[in-house]
Amino acid sequence: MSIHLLGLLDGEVAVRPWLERQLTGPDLLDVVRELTALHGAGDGRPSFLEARRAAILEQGLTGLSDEEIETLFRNPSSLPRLQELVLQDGGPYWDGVLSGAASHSLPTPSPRPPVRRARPRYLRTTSLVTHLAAAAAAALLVWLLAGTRPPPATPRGEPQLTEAASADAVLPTVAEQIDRKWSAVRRQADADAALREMEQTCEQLALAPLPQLSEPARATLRHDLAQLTQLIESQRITLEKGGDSLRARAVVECRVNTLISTRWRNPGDLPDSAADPDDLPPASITE
Amino acid sequence: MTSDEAKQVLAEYRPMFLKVATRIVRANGIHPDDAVQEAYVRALRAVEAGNFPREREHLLAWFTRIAHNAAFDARRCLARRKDGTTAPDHAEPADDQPGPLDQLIGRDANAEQDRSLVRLRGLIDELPAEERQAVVLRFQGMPSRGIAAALGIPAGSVSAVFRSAYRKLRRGLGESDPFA
Repeated sequence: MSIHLLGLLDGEVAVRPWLERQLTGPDLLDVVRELTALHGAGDGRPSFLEARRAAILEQGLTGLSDEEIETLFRNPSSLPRLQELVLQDGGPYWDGVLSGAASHSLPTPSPRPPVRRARPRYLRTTSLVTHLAAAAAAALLVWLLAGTRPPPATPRGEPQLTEAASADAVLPTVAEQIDRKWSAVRRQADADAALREMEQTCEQLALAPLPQLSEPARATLRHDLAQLTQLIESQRITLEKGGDSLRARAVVECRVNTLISTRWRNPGDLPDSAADPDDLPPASITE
Repeated sequence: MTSDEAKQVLAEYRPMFLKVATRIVRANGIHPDDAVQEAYVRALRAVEAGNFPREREHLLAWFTRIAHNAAFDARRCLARRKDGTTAPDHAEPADDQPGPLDQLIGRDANAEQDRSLVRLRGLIDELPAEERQAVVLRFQGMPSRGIAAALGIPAGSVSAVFRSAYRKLRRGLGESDPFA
């Protein structure tokens, strides 16, 4: 479960635009929940909002002082009401903010890590073949982790996950979910969207409780997924700089194959305990 | 708020919800006809399924997410149509309906988030003093220049303080370190 507030620790992210994006984006309730956990819900609607109403509707939050912005952060319960105000009555300024939020608005987008600002550009220029290769690689990793037994199916044909499901049933289902999303990719615009979904899925999978797995298997899987995500990201940067897409695909596939052959071919061979995933030996990678 | 009350609010303020959805859909470059009603119908279905916020004042924020998702799905469907592919418009399950993966990942999503937030507070407390103060002030909405002044450090150093804190927090939360 990613915490949206961590996105504020990007030194290049300004507070006002960040808050404006949250107000127009899909994750405001998550942000309210996070701020409430840290500061409490606050003592109601800040008094300046009514006086500043016209300026906010016309110019966004740029007209608010630093102190007023901080008051909003300390009163997260006021944010849904502010959202209602700007979405209903906000002027063209908020249409612009909304368009920006929409471009980031796939279901529950993850906050970007600090400093790395190039991601949106290389998302637009990444090769489709790399996206597909990365998706297939991730699906293959998870699928092979669980062996080859197919998951049980519901009458609708959809795999069913239950709390009692074993790793044998759960992980192929997860892989199928990833695979299904990516099998629908037909063009670059779809690939961008599917890429976000795949990243989100990998991130969620890495953070999910996954009680069906043993603790060492869970820790190792999370570690490997994190490494895989980083590698995919680095290959996107390489592509943006004019790199060869076929080589990028090969690098990603090589990483997955190496992970599988060194760790996941026989999950039973995993160590009995692995307290810290960072302490695990890295899979040998040939790039 | 019960599901009946939520449905009543959706009905009573339907024009407002449709107006907000229209705005979100247009911002996604989609004609309102393609997604606005879909968003509203999804909201009604979600209420009937019990998937809605219990706080009345959170209903619009919840609906905003549904509208964003509906707009995204409509955009994807339109892209397929233009591309000449034959994928049906509603081949994908609605984003707001929990699928098998959601059941696995989202089952305890709120509880998991609560645990992460409790853990985050503990991790912030464990940061070195300068980083702790910078993070606390940042999460209170203070701009970088204000944090620099409060800590008595150059404005250009704030990013480095954030970066160091960010790494520790992510690591402590069990998330991957993007700088590793």
